[in-house]
Amino acid sequence: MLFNSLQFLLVFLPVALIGYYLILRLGKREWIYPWLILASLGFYAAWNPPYVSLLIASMAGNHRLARRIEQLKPQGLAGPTLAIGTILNIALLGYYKYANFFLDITNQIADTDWTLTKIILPLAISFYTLQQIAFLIDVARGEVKTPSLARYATFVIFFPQLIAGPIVHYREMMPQFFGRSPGRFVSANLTIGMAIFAIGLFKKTVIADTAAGFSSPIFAAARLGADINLVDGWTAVSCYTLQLYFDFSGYSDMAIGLARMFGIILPMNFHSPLRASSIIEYWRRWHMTLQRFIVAYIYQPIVLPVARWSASQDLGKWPGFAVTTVLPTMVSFIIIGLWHGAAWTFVLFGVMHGLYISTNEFWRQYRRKARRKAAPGRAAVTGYFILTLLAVLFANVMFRAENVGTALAVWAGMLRLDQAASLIALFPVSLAEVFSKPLVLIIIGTALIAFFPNTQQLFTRYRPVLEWSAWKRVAPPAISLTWRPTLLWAITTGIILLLGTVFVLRGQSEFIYFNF
Amino acid sequence: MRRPLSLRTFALIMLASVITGYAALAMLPHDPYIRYQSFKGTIFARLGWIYDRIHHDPAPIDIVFLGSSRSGAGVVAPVLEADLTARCPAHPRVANFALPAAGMDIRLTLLDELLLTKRPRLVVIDVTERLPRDGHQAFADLARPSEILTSPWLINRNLPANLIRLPVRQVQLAAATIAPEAFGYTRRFQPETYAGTTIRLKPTEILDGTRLTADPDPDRHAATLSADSQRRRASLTPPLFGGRIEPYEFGVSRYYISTVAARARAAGADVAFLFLPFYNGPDAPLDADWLRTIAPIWSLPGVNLDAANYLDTAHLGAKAEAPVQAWLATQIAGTAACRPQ
Repeated sequence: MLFNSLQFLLVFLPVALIGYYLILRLGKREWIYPWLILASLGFYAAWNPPYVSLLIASMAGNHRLARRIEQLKPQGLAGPTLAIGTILNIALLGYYKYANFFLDITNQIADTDWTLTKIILPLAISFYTLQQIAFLIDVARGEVKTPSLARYATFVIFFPQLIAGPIVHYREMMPQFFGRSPGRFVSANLTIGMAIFAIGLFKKTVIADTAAGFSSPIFAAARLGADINLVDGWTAVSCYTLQLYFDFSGYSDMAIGLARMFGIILPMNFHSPLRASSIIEYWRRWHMTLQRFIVAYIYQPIVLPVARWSASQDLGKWPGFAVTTVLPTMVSFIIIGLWHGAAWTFVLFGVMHGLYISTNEFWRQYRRKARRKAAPGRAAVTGYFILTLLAVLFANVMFRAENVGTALAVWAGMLRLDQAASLIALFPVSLAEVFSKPLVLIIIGTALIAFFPNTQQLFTRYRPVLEWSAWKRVAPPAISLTWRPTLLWAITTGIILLLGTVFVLRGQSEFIYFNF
Repeated sequence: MRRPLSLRTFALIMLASVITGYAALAMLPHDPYIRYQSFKGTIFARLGWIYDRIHHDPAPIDIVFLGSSRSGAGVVAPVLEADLTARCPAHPRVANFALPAAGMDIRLTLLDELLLTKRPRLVVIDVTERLPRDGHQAFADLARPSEILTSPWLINRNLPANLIRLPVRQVQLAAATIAPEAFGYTRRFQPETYAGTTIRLKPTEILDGTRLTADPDPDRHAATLSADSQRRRASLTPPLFGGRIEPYEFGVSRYYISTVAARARAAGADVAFLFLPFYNGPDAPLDADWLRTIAPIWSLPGVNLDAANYLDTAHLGAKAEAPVQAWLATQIAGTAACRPQ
């Protein structure tokens, strides 16, 4: 079921909320877990009922493994069970997501013709697998205790974050269901949650889906071998970047808003990444819960041993940098790329960002002394911002393209600088072209990103996300607006909700991250 | 404006702004010509011609067929018009406004549009074996906002979706009215692309792409039609409810049929139902008792046992063309449409 569908908005969500608060009202606190599990399974089953059993099996299996890890931990024997658990999770993900990809590679290399029947990628498998691997590691590290199966299942399949995150840790979400919190501040949570959800819905249905209407035909034409010119190339990449940002950050807002309606605060997933003036900063603020996972469970476990090895070998400054920074960064970003999908485009997307980050780290090291003397001036920061944005735009082409050839065709179009005069064609010269050309959308979308507060900044008074106090002063907007329960905001929120809902009917489309 | 409200007041105002915004969007004005063109590229694209015939073609419409793909395939307006010319003292002009799918609500929309400029003398409504339980899928996009808002509530399963769709439709149509070229529409009638006054429908205009030609092998054709006919017969479910509830089960169709008939008569037209059976199907509509209380039923006799008469199970083909038009002309000859005005 899609958040941006009428059956979700008008039937599923009201029923789930009414049931939840009714249970709390009746004082049957322990029933909220079965209720949320039932609702979440129903929500998941609406997509593909047979795969509910896979989700349940994965959940039950990981719960069993976590229990076993906990039992073996005092004797220091949890390691092999953790390894088996991690391998099993990766194998499950590998079979459903990567089997055909690696089979194709094998066929090409070995000149074989092996085939597998078409495997349907189970919705959300990338997300719930990561979340459960993190849980097993946290149990092995002694950071959490294995809860009852009902609480564990609620953690894994709580429907607001089941399909495409934010990827949560047990210790940050589940304690909110305990204690005195559930059932308190119901009106405030419902109102704030609804308002955040409305903004997310608006981002998705009004902006992202409109942007897709401009970018998708150009990528489709490029795939069919059409000649992509300068205007097409930049239209495709700018509209796709708007689509990707508003689609995924819109989804995250919806997830955060929905959870808030149940009184649960989720971690932040986006914090104005397109306002970043370095690629490192960009990745700190784009799909933040995935970065958090990659850093904690992949990057750092690689860095620690190689740093020790590098120190023991006395490699020197720049060779040491290559081993301790470039190597783990490249490995992490190739994994990030592959996590998004089983295709060479995603591998190359990861390679590009790995190189970007490595270059950025090198520049930081290289300029460290100069930076200590004086912070970069406005012109330099503007230059960094433009460079970061260009790097992101070029990588997004690879991320969007169906194959490498398509990406190359769009890049070639973007680099047709001999056609610079043709950029004038971007400007509408008639009323009809205001609608048929993307410039107005690009200007509005860019202005929203560049100057306006992001969703959590808008709701800064109401602790919109976890760890907000650490982020509230980062990337302040040029135009300061904060949401409050005033008459003006009541009307504005209502209009945003209305537009978000009615645009659902323009043509419902899946969220981009549902494919990952 | 800046004073914090209680959350209950806030929620009420938010709800009020949703409702007010809905009403404002639903009332956005647009050019109805754009609305009829908005079906370009769909199986309902002939609505563009229908609008042109009503508003841009000065030729009168004496006899109009409001029906589904059955009458789209079975009623061949130029042939029927020629037959009628031979039988009637005047030269009645025939227009076939058939659209794929059987929902009845859209027939009223078309009749209302027609009555804006023409005065038909006979309105023929095509009916199938069983009245549809739901409205037409193009109604939400073709009807005027007032028609959607005043649709019957009992038991109209399409109504919630139609109501929710209305604002975005109005936004799209308003934008297209401001800049039609951006959406591939035209503001003015283009005579060079107009198909003509009395036209023969092409199968592509009325049937989906899978059924455009009959199987050239007569035995195989008959076997295919027999199998499909069995399936169709099995799907003719009897009313799910009886007694007092029964009228509500088919309430949407009954409401619109009654209204179409009443409005046509108020405009001075006769009304008749046309029933073109499917291959091996019933000889008369299963709702005949109720339909007869509204208007006479013309059930086409003697074709439904021969597969050669059919393009596919439900649609008449070339072999039946002449006899069907002759039979129809006989039916029409007995009505006011054939008499001099």
